[in-house]
Amino acid sequence: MFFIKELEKTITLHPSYFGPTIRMHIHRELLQKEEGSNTGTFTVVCILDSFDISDGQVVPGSGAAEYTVHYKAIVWRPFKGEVVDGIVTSVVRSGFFVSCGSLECFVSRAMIPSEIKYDANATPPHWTDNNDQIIEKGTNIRVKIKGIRSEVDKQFAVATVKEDYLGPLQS
Amino acid sequence: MSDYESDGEDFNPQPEVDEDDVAPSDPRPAAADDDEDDAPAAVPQRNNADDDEEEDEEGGEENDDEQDDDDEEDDEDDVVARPRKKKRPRRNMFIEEEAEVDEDEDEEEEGDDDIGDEVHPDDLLEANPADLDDRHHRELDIQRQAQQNIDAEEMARRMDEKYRRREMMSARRAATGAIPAAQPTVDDPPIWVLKCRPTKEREVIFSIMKRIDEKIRAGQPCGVVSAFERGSVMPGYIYVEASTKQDMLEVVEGVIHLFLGTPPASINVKERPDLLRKRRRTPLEEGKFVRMTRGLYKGDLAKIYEVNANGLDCTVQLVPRLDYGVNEDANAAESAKRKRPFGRVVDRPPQKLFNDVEAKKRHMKHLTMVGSGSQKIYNYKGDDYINGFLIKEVKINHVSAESVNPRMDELQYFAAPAEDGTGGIDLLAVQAAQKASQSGSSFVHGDSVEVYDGEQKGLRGITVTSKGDIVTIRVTEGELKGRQIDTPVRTLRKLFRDGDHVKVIGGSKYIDEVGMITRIKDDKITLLCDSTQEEITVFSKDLKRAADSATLGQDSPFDLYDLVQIDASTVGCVIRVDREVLRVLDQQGNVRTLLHTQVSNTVGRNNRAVATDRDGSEIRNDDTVKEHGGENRQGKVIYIHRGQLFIQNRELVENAGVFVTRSTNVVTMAAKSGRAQAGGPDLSGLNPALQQPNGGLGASMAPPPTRSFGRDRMIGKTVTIRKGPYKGLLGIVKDTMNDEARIELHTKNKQISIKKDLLTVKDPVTGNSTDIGGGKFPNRSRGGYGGATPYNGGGRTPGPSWGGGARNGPSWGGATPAANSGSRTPGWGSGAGGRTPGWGGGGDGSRTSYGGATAYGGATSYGGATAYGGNDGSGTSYGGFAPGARTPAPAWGAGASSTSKSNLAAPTPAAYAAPTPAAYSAPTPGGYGAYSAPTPGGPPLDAPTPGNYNAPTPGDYYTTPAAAPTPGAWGGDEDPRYD
Repeated sequence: MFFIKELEKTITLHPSYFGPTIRMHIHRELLQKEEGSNTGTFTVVCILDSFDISDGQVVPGSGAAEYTVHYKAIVWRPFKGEVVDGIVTSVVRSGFFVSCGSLECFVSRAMIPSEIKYDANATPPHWTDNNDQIIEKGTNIRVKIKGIRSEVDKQFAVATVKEDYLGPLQS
Repeated sequence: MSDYESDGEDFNPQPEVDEDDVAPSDPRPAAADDDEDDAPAAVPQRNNADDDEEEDEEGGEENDDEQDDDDEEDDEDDVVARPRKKKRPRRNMFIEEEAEVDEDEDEEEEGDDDIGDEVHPDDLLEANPADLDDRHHRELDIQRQAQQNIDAEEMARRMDEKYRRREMMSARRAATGAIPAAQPTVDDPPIWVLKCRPTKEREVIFSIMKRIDEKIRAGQPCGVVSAFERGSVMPGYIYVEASTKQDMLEVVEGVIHLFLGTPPASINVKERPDLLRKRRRTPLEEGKFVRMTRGLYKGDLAKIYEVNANGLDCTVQLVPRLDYGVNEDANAAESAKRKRPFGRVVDRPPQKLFNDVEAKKRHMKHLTMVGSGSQKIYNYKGDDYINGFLIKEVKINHVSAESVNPRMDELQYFAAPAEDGTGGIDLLAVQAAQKASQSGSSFVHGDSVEVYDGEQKGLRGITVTSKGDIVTIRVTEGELKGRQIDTPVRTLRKLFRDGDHVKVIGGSKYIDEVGMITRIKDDKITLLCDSTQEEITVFSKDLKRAADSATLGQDSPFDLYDLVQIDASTVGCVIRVDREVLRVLDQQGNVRTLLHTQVSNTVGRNNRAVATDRDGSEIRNDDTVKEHGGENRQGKVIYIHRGQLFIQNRELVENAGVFVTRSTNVVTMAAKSGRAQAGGPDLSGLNPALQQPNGGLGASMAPPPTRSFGRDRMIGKTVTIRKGPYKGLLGIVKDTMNDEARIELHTKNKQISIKKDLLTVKDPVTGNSTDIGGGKFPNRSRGGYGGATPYNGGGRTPGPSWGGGARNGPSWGGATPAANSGSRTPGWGSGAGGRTPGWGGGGDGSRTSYGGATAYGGATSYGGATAYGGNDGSGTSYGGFAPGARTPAPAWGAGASSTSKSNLAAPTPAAYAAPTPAAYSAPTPGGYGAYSAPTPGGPPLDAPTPGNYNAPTPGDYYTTPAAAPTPGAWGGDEDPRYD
């Protein structure tokens, strides 16, 4: 689910950037470092324009300056039970992996409807119900998140396609 | 979530039912009492017409009564018969009829007159013997009579007593607790304990019994009430219950195996019940795991195959321990073989599944095959083997079902392919075996749990504390929400949901694995490992919610990239450490999967190990090498093992970046700490010229102090001494030292040391002077020794190179040249060609010569040329040697080399050479050429001469007289050299 969230970030700027364009540098630094990053609970999708930069403080000993920046960003936090679309990144015998933006999901065999079977003989191997549903690398797919594991800077989920309206998307 | 709720609904009603079952069971007897209290009065009045009503009324009270309609009739009517009827099995119609008789009797009671009339016709109809009926009737009459005499209160009391007993019975049957039976009192006859010979207890008891029997038959009073033994619990003791000690002694006196030495002791009244207490055994069930408690298989894990109906024996499935007669003493006498091993078998064979091939090798006669089709049953030495397992019938007290705790490595044998892919092991059996050992410790505060068994089945909550086997949980769902309840551990299971991030905490080989749950089925949970992205199935009890991220618990003694010993001749590099297995890349490049136990130890790294690459340069650990050909993989050498290199390249994915290759298949890219490398081994270190104290090339062309390597060729040769007190004497070289030879003189039986220079080798047969290598070495060497003069230098060099023999004996192949060329094993080096120009030159045919050419190419070489000037050919040759021109041509020196140079080289040297060497060379090379096989063939006199020279040089020189000319030439030229 997407949220607008107020965040705070301390940016350390090298003295060589000190000058009239310092704000620009801070802005650039912020966008570069934060956009697309994952905190373990959510992903920063987009930083909104208006932000607030504190007065800089020179760090003793290094000459760099620290700025605390308050900003608002659109963040995406996946929830258990959330339905997301993604792209299949790899297919294995025990299931398949789906990339949903910043979130990597695994769909286990137990979470695939029984009529969709693994076909190891196909090239590339894929999951299929021998009808119009084929799950192979690159397939656009809709899954429902069943569980999320968070690490410091990334998230991983297990997901299911064993419910109505889930599965490969017709495109 | 929905799962849980639905589960809850499933479960919750259950306890209620239970309560119903339990609660009413108490009032029931009371209800029955009521019923029966008024029954005597009420029942008789009732007729069949009333039955329906009655049933309705009773419906409320006795809705649990599971009796047929017939029974109900009985219930209503026959009060007294009821308890009796319960015990009475319904055998046939006849008995049924009897019941009817009862009923009739009731009615009879009600109206005495009718009885006979009604009964008799029925009976007659059934054609039952009248007398039988009569007897029953009479009995009934008597009962009735007695009943009527008893007042209601008495009746109630008796009923109460009767039912209570029945309850007690059922309670005992349900084993809910020990029922205080009649306890012994001081009034009962005392029990005496007597000692006897262990294992003979039963015999003693039997003889006592016989004596008692005799006494009774004889009509004598016998004071002994009973005698018993306690089997394996108290071996060596029997117990006799007798009213007096005297009575007891009368009976037991003289019984064999009985020891009356210690006075019999009476057992305390309180302790007597204990004598009859039986140790409760865990019941054995098919498919369960047990441990053997004695015999060869003591301590082994076994699986119950079958429990025999007699309850004394069971058949177990074992992993056999057989040696197939390998350790059998073939010479032992037959009788000796039959002797049973006494006591514990010292070293029993390891556990291994039965192998019929092994058995056939030595014990064909003991082996028969019984089975057919897919399942083969072998009979080997009287035991059956199915699917490799030993199927053995044992007494149940030879196995123990308690604290079995099967280990994973033991279980692997019992693994059978399971259709659901649960690791191939019958998880249920394992679970059953492990459940016993489960304690509260597997539950920690905050685990969400469910009670799955017992009265509180279905209850869910969160653990608060655990103490021993009792876990306190706070109920989170249902009516009891918020209350804390104590539950035994064995009824609890942990509750997880799909997608939970969990960690395996024990009891399975996946310990410490972390993953997310993808499937929950009963107690079994499938999770996707974070580390391997594989799915594993474990029990919920072995899981806990994981807060941390995946770390593999490392208690393996092996680390990644360890070099381990697989068997005596195989080592391998660990490329993956799993909990149970190691993946190892062995020296053949195969990847093996091994149990930790199959790997004996780590080999460690031998830092002094050296290998040579395809160029002959040395490789040590941590050098960077590159495959020559193949995939051109490159990497750092992590281990050197007998010519095989284990090379690591972090950029490779397969086998953790490790690959194996032969050392001769790689080229050194960079050596650690900048050691000299291929493409130019550092010659300076070995270059004798450089090792001169005055060192410089030009500076001193003095011959290097020759070092000798290998066996001196002089040894064993017949020589004459040219100078000194022994001049002219003939002898045989027995030994050589640096520059001296010990010579055994033919004339005197004496060994003397003579400088090698002073010797001339003679042909022992003809007496002609011969040259050891090319014959000139004596001359040369001498010249060489001459030492100071450049000539000598020159002379020498060539000397060694060809005839090195003079000095160093070995001549050429050998060390000497080495010395000269400066290469390591120059002789060889030369063979190898190319590198060491000098040698290269000398070495073999064309190639070398070219090598030589290059050397010349270098400006330095010219410098060398100057050297020539100075030295004459020979000196120069030194210069020519190294690319550095230090010792370029030297070896062969003199004329030859110079010529060659001149030929090859630019005009200048030619110029030089032209006069002198050319002259020399002209003849010589010709000769050489002739000798030397390939090269010379071509252009002996030619420009290529060097080729010729070089090529032939080594070989030719020493073998051939051809060489002779050269020196001759020189000699002519520069006599001083030869002195």
